[in-house]
Amino acid sequence: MLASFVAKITLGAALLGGVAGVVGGLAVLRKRSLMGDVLSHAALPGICIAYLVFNSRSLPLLSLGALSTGLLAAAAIALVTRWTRTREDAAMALTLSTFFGAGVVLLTVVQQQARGNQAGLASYLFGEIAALRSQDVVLIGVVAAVLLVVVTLLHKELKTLCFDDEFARSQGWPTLAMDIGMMAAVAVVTVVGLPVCGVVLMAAMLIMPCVAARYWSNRLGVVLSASGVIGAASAACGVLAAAPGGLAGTPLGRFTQGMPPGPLIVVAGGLVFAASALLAPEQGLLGRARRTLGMRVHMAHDHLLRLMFEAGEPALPAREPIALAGVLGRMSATPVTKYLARLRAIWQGQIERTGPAEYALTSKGLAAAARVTRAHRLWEQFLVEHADIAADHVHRSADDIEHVLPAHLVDELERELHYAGRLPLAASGVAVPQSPHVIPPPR
Amino acid sequence: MAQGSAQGATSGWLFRRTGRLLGGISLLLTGFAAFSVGCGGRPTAVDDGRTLVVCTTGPVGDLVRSIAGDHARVEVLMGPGVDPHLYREQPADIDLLSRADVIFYNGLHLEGRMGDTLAKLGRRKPVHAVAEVLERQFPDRLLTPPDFAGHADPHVWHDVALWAECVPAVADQLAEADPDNADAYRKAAESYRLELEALDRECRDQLASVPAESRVLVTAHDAFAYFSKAYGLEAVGLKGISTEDEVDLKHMDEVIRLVVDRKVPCVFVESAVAPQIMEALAEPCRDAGHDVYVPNREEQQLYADALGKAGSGAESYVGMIRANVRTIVAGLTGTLAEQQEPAAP
Repeated sequence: MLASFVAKITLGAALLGGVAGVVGGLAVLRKRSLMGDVLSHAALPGICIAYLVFNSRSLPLLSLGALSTGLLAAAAIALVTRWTRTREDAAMALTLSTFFGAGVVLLTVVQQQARGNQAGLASYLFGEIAALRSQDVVLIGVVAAVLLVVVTLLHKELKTLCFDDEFARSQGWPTLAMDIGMMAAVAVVTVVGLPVCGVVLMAAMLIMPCVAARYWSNRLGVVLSASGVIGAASAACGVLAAAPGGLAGTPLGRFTQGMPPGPLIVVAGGLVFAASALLAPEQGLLGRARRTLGMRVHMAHDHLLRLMFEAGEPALPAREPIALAGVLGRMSATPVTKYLARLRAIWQGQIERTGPAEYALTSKGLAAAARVTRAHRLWEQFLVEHADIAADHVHRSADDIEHVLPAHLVDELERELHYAGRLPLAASGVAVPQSPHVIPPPR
Repeated sequence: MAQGSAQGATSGWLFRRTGRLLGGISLLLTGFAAFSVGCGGRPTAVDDGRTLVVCTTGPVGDLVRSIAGDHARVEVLMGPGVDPHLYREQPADIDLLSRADVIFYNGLHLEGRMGDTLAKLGRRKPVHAVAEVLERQFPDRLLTPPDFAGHADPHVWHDVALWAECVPAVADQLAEADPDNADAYRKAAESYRLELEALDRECRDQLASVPAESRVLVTAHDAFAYFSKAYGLEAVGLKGISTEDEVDLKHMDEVIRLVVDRKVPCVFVESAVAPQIMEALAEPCRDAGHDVYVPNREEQQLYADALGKAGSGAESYVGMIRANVRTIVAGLTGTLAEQQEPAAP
C-alpha cells in the first residue's frame, strides 16, 4: 500500500530522472559529460545571488539566477580554452570549482543575512525530495514534456551534431547555437532538479543513465530512450526503496527504509550501470570476455588438430597414437586455453585417448585436422607465391589467418594451384598439400 | 562548447559578445549582492573600556544583556533568522571572539560547527556554555532523543522555567569576569529570573486554552521538545534535531497519518527552514480529506533557533516566547488562518 505522497514523489523523481537521462545523454554523446557537473555546481552561486538580489525564494527567480551563472560558466570554459593555453578538461575543472566555491561563499553570506527569514537554500546542496509538492511535479512534467518533444523533433540534427559536427558545420548549420541550446536544456533540467536531489547527485543523474544505456545499443534513438527509461527507473526505485510500503517486507526494504532517497537514487543508477557494463550482450564485459576466450580456444583447437596431423603425417593413412605433451609443448596458448581446446576436441569426438598421455585422431578428427592443415598450407603457399614472403617466414602469418579463412577462399586457392599444376598432394592420400616449409619434429 | 578547431569568425565574435554581456551581468549581480550584504552586516565594535561579552545565539545574547545592562558591552554573533546548527564563524567574528573578555554560548552541540573554535578559545579565556549548569544540576530535566546519539537536545531555552535556572550561573560567570560590577549583575539576574518565572506562568495560562485532542505541535525540525514537554503538548518534528538532516519518507508518512487521525488544525513553519516542506506535508493531508493550515506569512512563523528581526516584537527572548505561544495557540485553536493583521506586539 503506497501512501499518496510517496506516489507523488516517485512520479516527480521518475519524470526528473527520465528527462535528465535523455538531456544529459545528449551531453554525454556530445562528449560534454562534465558539462552537467559544471552546470549543477555553477547553479549554486546563481541561486544565492538571485535570493540576495530579489530576497525571494520563488522558483522562477532562483532558476533564472542558476541559469545565468550556469551559462556564464559554460561561456567561461569556452573562452578559457579558446584564448589561453588551457586544455578543456582543466578549464572545466577550474570553472566548476571556482563557481562552486563562490556558491558556498554566497551561501554563507545568505546564512548571515539578518532578515529573519532563513532561505533554506542549503537544501540545494543535498536536495530535499520530500518537499516536492504537486505544483513542483507538474513543473517537472511540463519541462520534461517540452524537452522530450524538442529532442524528438531535432533527432536527426542532434545525431549529426553528436557524431559528426564537422559535417554539420560544413552543411552550414549553426552548431554553436545548437551547442548552446543543448547546454541550456541541461541547465534547465539542473535547476528543476536541484531542489530535489542536490548539486552532486544531479550531475550523476545527468551522466549515469546514458553511460549505462550506451552498452545496449549503437543507435541514437534507442540509446536516448533507454537512457530516459534507466533514469526514470532508478529514480523511482531509489524513492521506493526509501519510502514506507515501497519495498517493505523485503530484507532490502527493511534495510533501506528511512534512508535519504536522493543518494539511493544514485546508488540504483550505479547498480544499473554495473549490470549493463557486465551483462550487455554485445559490449558487456562478460560477453566480451566470453567471446575472446571462445576465439582463443577455437584457435588453440585448430592448432592442436594441425599439430596432431603433422605429428602423425609420415604414418598416414594409419592414425598413430601421439604423445600429447610434445604437441602441447609446441602450442603458444595458455595452459587453461590448451586444456579447454583438448576438452573440446575430445567432446567433439576428434581425438581419443589410446594410452597414458597418448591420444590419436579419430576418423572424424582426421577429416577436421586435414581441413585445418589444408587451409594453413594453402595460405602459406599463397603468401610465398603472391606476397613474396620467404618460405621460412610464412608459418606465423598463416597461423593468424587460417582460423578465419572462408571455405570458398580455400577452394579458390586450391583451384588456382591446381590449374598451375602446382598442387603437390601429400603422399598420404589425404587431400592436403605439402608444407612449403620444413615441419620441425615434435619436441 | 569550446571547439578545438578553428570556428567561423562570426561565432568568435558572438562568443566575445556573449562573454562580455555575461561578464557584465555577473559583475552587476555580484555588485548587487555585495551591496545587499553590506547593508546587513554587523556594525564594527569600538572598544569603550567596558567588559566585552560575546554571545553566539540570540536567546543567549538576550539573557546576558538582561543581566549585564549597561555595565558591559554585549555582542551577538548570530542575527535574526540565522541557523545556529549550520553557522560557521566569519573572519569578523574571529576578530570579535579574540577580543572578547568572556564568551557565552548555548552548548549541548547547538553551535555544531563552532565547537572547535570555542574549545580553542576556552583554553585562553573564560568561555561558558549557558546550558552546562543544567547538565550539572538537572540532568534528569534534559531530553535525550533517540536519534541524537545519546546527546541532549540543545533547544533548552524554549522551556522558560528551565532557561530561568541558567540565569544565576551566568550572573556568577559575568561577576567573575568583571568583579567591579558583581553586585549589579546579581541584582539584575534576580529580577530577570522573576520575570522569566512570571512568563512561564503566562505561557501555561495561554496554552491551557488549546483543547486536549489537538495538542500536537508539528514543526519542520525537532526544536520544540522542551517547549512541548513543559506546556503539555506533543512535539512532532519532520527532520531530526538538526536542520541539516534530510527528511525521511517513512517518518513523514507517520507524521501525515498523525495529522489526519488527530485532525491537527495547523502545522507550523519555522523561520529558519524553507516553508516548502511543510506545504508538501499538508498536501497529502488535504488529499486524505483533512484541511490543515500552513502559515504563509512571516509573522505567523515560529522562532525555533533564533530571535526575530528588530520591530517584529520577537527581537527579545521574552517577546520571542510570547510570539511563539501566541502563534501556537492561534494555530491549534484554528484561528490562525483568519488572522489578517499581525497581532500587535
